[in-house]
Amino acid sequence: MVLAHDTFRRRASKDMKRNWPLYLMVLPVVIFYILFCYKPMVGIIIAFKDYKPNLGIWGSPWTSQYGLYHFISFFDSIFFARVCINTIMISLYSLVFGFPAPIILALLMNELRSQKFKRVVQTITYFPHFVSTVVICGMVRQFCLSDGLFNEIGSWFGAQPQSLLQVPEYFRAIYTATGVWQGVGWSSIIYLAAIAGVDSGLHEAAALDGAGRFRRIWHITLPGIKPTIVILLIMQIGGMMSVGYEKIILLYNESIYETADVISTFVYRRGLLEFNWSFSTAVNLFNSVLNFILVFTANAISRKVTETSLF
Amino acid sequence: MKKMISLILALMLVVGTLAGCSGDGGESSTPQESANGSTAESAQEASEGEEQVGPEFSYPMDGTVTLTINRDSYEIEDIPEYARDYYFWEMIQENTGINLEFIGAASGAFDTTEEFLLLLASGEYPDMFCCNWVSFPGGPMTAMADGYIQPLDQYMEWLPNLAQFLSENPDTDRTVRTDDGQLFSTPWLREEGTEVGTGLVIREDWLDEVGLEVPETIDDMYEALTAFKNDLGVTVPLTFELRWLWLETAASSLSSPFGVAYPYYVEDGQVKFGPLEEGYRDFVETMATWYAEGLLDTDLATVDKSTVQAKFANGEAGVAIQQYTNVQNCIDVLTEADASNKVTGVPTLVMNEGDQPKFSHFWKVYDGGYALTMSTQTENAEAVCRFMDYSYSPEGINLCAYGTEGVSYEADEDGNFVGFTDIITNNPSGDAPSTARGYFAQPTNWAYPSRDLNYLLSDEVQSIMQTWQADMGTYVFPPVTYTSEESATKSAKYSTLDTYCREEITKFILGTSSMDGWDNFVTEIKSLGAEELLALEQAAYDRYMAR
Repeated sequence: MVLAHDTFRRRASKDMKRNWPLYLMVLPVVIFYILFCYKPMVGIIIAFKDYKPNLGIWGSPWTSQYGLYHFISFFDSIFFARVCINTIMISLYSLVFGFPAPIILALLMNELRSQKFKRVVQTITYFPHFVSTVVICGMVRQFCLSDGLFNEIGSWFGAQPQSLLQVPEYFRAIYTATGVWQGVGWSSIIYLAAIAGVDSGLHEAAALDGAGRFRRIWHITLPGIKPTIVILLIMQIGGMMSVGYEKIILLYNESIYETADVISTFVYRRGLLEFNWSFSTAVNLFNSVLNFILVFTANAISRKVTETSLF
Repeated sequence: MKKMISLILALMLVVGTLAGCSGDGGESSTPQESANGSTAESAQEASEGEEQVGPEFSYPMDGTVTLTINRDSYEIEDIPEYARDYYFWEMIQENTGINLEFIGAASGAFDTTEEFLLLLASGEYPDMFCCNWVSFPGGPMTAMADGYIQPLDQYMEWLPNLAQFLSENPDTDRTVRTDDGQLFSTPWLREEGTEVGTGLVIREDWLDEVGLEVPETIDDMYEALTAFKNDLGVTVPLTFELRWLWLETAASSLSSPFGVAYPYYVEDGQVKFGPLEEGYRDFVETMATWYAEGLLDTDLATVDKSTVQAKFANGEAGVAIQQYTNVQNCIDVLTEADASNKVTGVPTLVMNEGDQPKFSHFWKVYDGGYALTMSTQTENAEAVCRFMDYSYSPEGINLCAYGTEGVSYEADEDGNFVGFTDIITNNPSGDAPSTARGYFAQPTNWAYPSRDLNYLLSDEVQSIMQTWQADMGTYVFPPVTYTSEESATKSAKYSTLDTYCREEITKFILGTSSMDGWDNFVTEIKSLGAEELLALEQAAYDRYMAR
């Protein structure tokens, strides 16, 4: 042990001497992470305290029930089950419909032969990404009114006009569809980049052997970008428990809380509007732990099944 | 980062203190001493005798004191040229002889901004806070106990105008004192005629067409809405934003006939929680019926302010709940489309003809917004007091309300306001009168007894606002303060109760839930602590009334 330790030390100092410019270059990054990513983690402690700004993190008193008061009050809430289920459902919708969409778009775009047309399509699909969520949601709300665009289209097919954002059953579909519309172009960029890295020799060889377009996509392009897909999938699964509140708050109303109220909007109303930072921290900590478990599980499964993994 | 901020703040404070001290050339920090030093005109007499200088005091002070305040700073270049020399914030510094340093971290009227909370967390406070301590968790009592602000009672000698104002307005006096009687802030009083800012507006020309009068009772309203729908084919007879059901008793023009409002109101000294009352059930049932019959906006839960405004302005809706600031727009659009289009206000509805309306959207009671409070860290208590007090003096009120005499308004020989000048009413740069007024004066959102807010409104809008006037008087639930235990209970339970009520009531109105479920709803809100919270509000109210 001592020997190994020494060798490591000797190796390290030797390496340091040789590569000191590299170490110097990495130093600011390391300091950045320590200062801004690790040090603030100490603040998690306020989840177990009644945080008061003037008393500071350390001076604030511990909560009752062994510091678990805020967790227990979250689990005890009559809305706990509902916001958890809604969060998971909205995430699942986004995963099932939102995840494959940019891959399909990237594959389709890759098959386009007219560069001009491709550029036009790309610009149009990227565009919604640059429009602020507030504006997007304002538009969606207008479209969903009983005399709005969606009802107008629905009436061509004989549907009765109704206020779409007042029907709990429709909310997830509206949320997911608009999410896909907004994000599909932008998210496809990374896949386009991955596709560009696939060896074109393989395509030529397959084409010579008589493989059609779909064959080539299936057997060459998709396996070529599989690592990218898997990594992004794992990352998205890791974010399952955190659905952002901005878009939901801008879209929901009391009549559809049933399906639209998620953990983050619940925390927004309960924690942020009432300055209850400890409560918000507790819920977010709970969220992060679940997310971590999910990402870890997804990673482990993927390592076994596809031999690609994040870590 | 936090260190840096506190360092900068500390530096500012030191500089401020130095500036304050340089005037007297000494290290004065006690109120008594700084009182002597900074009173420019009576400085000499004052430094001889240790007596207070209150009666002889006159503005401006000697200009050596700089006070910090949490407001956003401005660039004078951003002010239109016509107003630059007489910009309100320049003038108030000049007239008081007190320099201000705006350190940012401004706070909202009801809610506290993140920047403001960071300011509190930094531990380095400005001389004056401009914020709402009533809505601060725990209220002003906690703010004092936590060491952010200090009571003003000990400095009353430097606050003569405020003292006089408070003694003349005992109801307002109560709103700026804690339960144990300490004065914690200077109030912003909304002037007569502007207490009710939201109410029902109706298309008068349509009423004429169907041969009806302006509705008085809830049944009249039903009749009018039905006539609009059936005779005129109006698609949206009545529309309003759903949030008005929960906020500021703004939908009370509809719920008042049933004697209820949301959430809390007072009746014979008893605090009531709307949904627990039998009348609230009747109100919700009526709304549900109207919704089912297509009299209420189909999109009720999703319409926002601009949609309501648009629906009313483009002739889709016949009746709407509107804020007075939006009424003018609607009238302009309507009359431009057709000169015969007419809009009028509907007074708070009643149950039977001749009844007195009970509720209205009510602003009279001061809610704690934009209050000025003295921080515990000020070294210039006198200057802070003099600055606060200025806005309650006759000349201070005129500056805040109208701007500078001879520039933005004309006055008679007693200094009373006569009228605005052309620069406001017929602005050279084409700015709206209220915008122009906003440069010379600070008519709203500032701690002073405000004047003539509706002066620049059109006659039409003023008469609509007149119809909305209904004295909620004793029914209004005042801005009470809570003990720290009460705050804890409230923060644990109220948000859940409120969410549940809003959600269920909405579903009853939209017909998603049947009214048969009302009893279950009441049982459920009781199990969520509605009665416990009501008892808590009652206790806080009793303490408030005993102030």
